[in-house]
Amino acid sequence: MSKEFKGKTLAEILRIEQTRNYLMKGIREDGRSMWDYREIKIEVGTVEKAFGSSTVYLGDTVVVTGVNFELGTPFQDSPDSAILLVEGEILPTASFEAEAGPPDEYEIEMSRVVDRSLRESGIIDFKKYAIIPGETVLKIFIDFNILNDDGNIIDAAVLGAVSALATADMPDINYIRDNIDEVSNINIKEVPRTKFSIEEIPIANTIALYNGKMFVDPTAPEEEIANSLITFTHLATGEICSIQLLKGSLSYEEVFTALDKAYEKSVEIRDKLSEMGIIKL
Amino acid sequence: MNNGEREEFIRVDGRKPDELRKYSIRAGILKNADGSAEIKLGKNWIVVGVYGPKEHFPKFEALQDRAIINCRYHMAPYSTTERKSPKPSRREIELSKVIRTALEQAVILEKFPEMSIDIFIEVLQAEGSTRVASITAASVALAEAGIPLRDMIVGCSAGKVNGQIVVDVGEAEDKDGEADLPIAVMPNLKRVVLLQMDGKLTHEEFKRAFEIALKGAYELYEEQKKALKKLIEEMSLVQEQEGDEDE
Amino acid sequence: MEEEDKRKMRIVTPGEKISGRINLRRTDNNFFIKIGNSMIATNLGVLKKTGSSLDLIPYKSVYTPRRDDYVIGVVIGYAANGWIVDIGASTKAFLSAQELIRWEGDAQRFDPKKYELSEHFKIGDLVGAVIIDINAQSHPILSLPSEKQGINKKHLGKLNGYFIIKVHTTKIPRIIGRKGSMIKMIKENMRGDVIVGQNGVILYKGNYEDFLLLKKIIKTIISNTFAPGLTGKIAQMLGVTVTEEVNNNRGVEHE
Repeated sequence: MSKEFKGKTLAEILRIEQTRNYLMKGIREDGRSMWDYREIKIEVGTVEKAFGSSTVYLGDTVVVTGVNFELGTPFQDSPDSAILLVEGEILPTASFEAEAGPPDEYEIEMSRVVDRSLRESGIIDFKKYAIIPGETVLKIFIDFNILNDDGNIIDAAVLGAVSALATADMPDINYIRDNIDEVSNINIKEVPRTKFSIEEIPIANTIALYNGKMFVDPTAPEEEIANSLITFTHLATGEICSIQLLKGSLSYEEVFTALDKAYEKSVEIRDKLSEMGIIKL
Repeated sequence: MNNGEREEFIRVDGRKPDELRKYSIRAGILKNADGSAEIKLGKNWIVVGVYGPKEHFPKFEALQDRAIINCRYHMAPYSTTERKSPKPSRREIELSKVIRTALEQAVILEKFPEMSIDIFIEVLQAEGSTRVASITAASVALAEAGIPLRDMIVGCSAGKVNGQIVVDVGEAEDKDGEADLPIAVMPNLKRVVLLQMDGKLTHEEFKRAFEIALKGAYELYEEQKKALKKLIEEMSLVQEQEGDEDE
Repeated sequence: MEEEDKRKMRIVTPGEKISGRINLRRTDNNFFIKIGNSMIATNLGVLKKTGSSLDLIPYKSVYTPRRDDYVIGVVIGYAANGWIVDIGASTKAFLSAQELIRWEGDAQRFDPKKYELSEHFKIGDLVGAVIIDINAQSHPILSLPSEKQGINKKHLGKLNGYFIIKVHTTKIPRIIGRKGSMIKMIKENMRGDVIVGQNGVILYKGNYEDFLLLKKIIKTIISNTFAPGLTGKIAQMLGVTVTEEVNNNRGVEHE
């Protein structure tokens, strides 16, 4: 059996074959141009129990993200720094192929790329949340789940994390510092809260290549047939904070074309987030 | 417990003893899954996806005369008050099993020999009585997938809180209460398919708890039917007439 | 007519008891089960009276490939003596090389040493075929009939250059319509070639704009499966005037 078809349903196989025909002609299944994103819909606060949360719909790809805080001891090599843990899972509901069980290499890669896109971006001021340096720091958990996978889960997941963080509450750091003994004995969710503030807005953009044709925001069949996939994460400053070649190879020129296109798209999407009221530019 | 005059018992969230939390059920919410459903019950938010019937692998494990059901109950790390590791806990494994054996009673497994049906329950937010809410949604997801069922399965919990028998136990009530009784039934066949009890109840208390849970289950059954019928109504451009029956 | 439709349409959910005469002849499309003395509906669907007996038209049902079904599948692998074809059923279908050789009019026996399977069908090729049998392991066996009413020879074997629409198999009866009336109207009013497989695959050979119209038409049918007056709406989309009779078509019989 061809690797492309393994674990796929007939509907998915047909979509893949059809997409091949379309991309050859320079068109896409849903009528988009090569440089359009699918419709993006974001709801925030969908998991009230978490300090912050979001549900992102990127076309038919659906991601739910939750942000939680805990108190913890800092790492030995960075005693005055808060701790960030980013973990994502493709739920077995996401597609016929997706399996229940510990994350496979693709899920782990996805988690780590999203992690780097956030960690290196400066979205979180780690020093700010070292409550008692060397002893007690804030542990920040960002967990995300792909409920339905129609491609480009990385872009969607980074949007989910940014949206959840941008609208999150957090336990009041000053209150914790002043009442550390009391706080250690209660549930952190019962501590008085403040708003979490984000210091940057990283946006990930995944570019695909097929037979020399470049396009953005690939759907599941497009990812499947693409010769190459590459993700760039840009900051509002225009700096790149993460790059990952996910599949295949690019010519040197293609790398820079893709980079420019990714930057263009990151600006557009950041503007969209601002229009939605999720962030302030 | 006297059934004489007493003040109406108000619960921590303001509910009456026989009052369910606010609920809603939607069917067909995931694109890729063969069948899917979502339930909200109080702060509970649970999504279920069904795949199958499909070929079972490895083949030598398949059953010759019926389908195998695989069921996974899983909680998202952000679903609980304290963040939970994504690794399956013993509790999740036990719940996966009791939910599976309950659903097996309703699915007409004999129609699909050598096949398996996968049911994935994802708890996105938990607030007490998740197993019965999950099973209620799973039943809708199976129906939405077009998998033939003998009956729907619907669940509801009851409990003893502050000495009072109550329906639909919330998280706080479960933690501080004296007993927790989740049940699930096939509402037309009138059979119990899930029954567990945790805590202490007299026979009399159990009877009352069972009845109040049953009443709650039948209320949720109406919501299940509504969610499923909506799928067809949306394809009809015509509303179904109330009371129109061929019987 | 609309009032009559409303009266006759009842939505049922699994577990509901049904009284009335149940058409148990159609065992493959049977969405009832007898429990004790009662007939129980096993699926979500609409109960319709056909003559004096009741049928359940399901919202969705599991695809069961049947003998004589014309299907369109994809070659997903090679076996020792033929091709493994995915037709969207719970098990994969099989087309033997010998069958292809026979259909192409060749008398020779299949010789695995000389016959290069991938030269005839590659992985990813679309194949039109008819199910001739379901074997002991539940795999559908495909055939290429030489003479069969209703199957155009061009719609058998390798199918190249078609646009593809995949729908749930449950929708095919509605797309075909009572006695083929719906699909006939569509085929007659589309410039290109429309092929419908029982396994939910629809192919179109023609230009892209016409294909977009066909996609819209199919989408309208599957989103309004249970609506009366659907035929009229589709006729409108095709730019066709339709008679009263066809407009009242509310049947969803299997072809």
